[in-house]
Amino acid sequence: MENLIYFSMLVLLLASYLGLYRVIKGPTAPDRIVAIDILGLILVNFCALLTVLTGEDFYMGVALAWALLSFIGSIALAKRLEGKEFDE
Amino acid sequence: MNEYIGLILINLGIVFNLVSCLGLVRLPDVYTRLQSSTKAVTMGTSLVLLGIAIFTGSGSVIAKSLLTGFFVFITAPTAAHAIARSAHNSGIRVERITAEGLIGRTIEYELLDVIRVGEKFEKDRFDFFLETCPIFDLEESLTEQQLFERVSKILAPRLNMEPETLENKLLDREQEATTALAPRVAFPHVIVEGKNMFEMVIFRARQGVNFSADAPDVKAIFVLVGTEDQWHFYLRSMAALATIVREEDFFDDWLAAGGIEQLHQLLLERSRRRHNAD
Repeated sequence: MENLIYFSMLVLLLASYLGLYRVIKGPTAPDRIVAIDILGLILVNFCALLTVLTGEDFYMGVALAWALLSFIGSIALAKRLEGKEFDE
Repeated sequence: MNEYIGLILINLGIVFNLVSCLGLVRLPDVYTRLQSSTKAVTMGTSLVLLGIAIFTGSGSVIAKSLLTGFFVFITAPTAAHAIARSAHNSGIRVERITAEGLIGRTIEYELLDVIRVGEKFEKDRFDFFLETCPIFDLEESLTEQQLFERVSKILAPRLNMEPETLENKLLDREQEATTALAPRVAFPHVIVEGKNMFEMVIFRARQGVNFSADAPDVKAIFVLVGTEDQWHFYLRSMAALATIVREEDFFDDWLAAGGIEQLHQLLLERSRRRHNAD
């Protein structure tokens, strides 16, 4: 049972490497923003799986906070890309 | 039992996540990447969180994971939408997906048509000619006469003429006065006998063609051949071409364009600007 969770995390690690490849390679700014957005959500998955593995439920709180923060980050970056300020 | 259902959901979610990241790497442009990645990752994350809620069965984890899943379901598509809009507004283009040999230039024309419909723009006859007329990219450097020989070979069959006749007409016209109206552009044009015929052929000469002492390095050649009754359209085409060519950055784009298809598109886009300016 536990092994299956470990395996899932390994697959997520692989997925995050794929995302990281896109962050580094680009080629345009929106490509990178998309990849970072996805990496944030992969991290949410990771934290959620840690909850199962450790039995500590504060990891779930981390996941929740991260999901919201990465959303705000993506929106801010997207706005910045358009050349607007965040409150426009 | 709950554990198994939870594990199945978690693993299903992980598969979705992996597929979305594969899409991030494999797909050609930002829009398709958004399309594959955000949707699949939203699904995957929600499944994982749901699976964990079922798997653990403890109250606080269920509450937090369902809440997180709910937020992800709302925020991820919103973020994707914002990114797509900003990408569009910052001028990123849609990449061609189908193999070039399969479709020719239809996709770009369809997109242009969509734009036109959106802007209530009607194609006039000149645009139709721009879209369909042959464009050639001259790799080698030609003399004027060699160029006219080529033009004649291409156009004579369409006009029911002998190639030599057309070539001589073009050369005669050139001798009367040079058709290189600007240092880097020439409009060779002749009126031929017959009725209701009009042909246009365009050359891009990166190496330049020597037209006259004033225009030794002509990069863009627009050949217009028409019959007498097309006189009005003939003049309008010349005027339109002159407007297009007169723009400052035209030659930068003209020489930078990658292929025939891009040249067509460039001319059409410029022609559209001309309509908007009217």
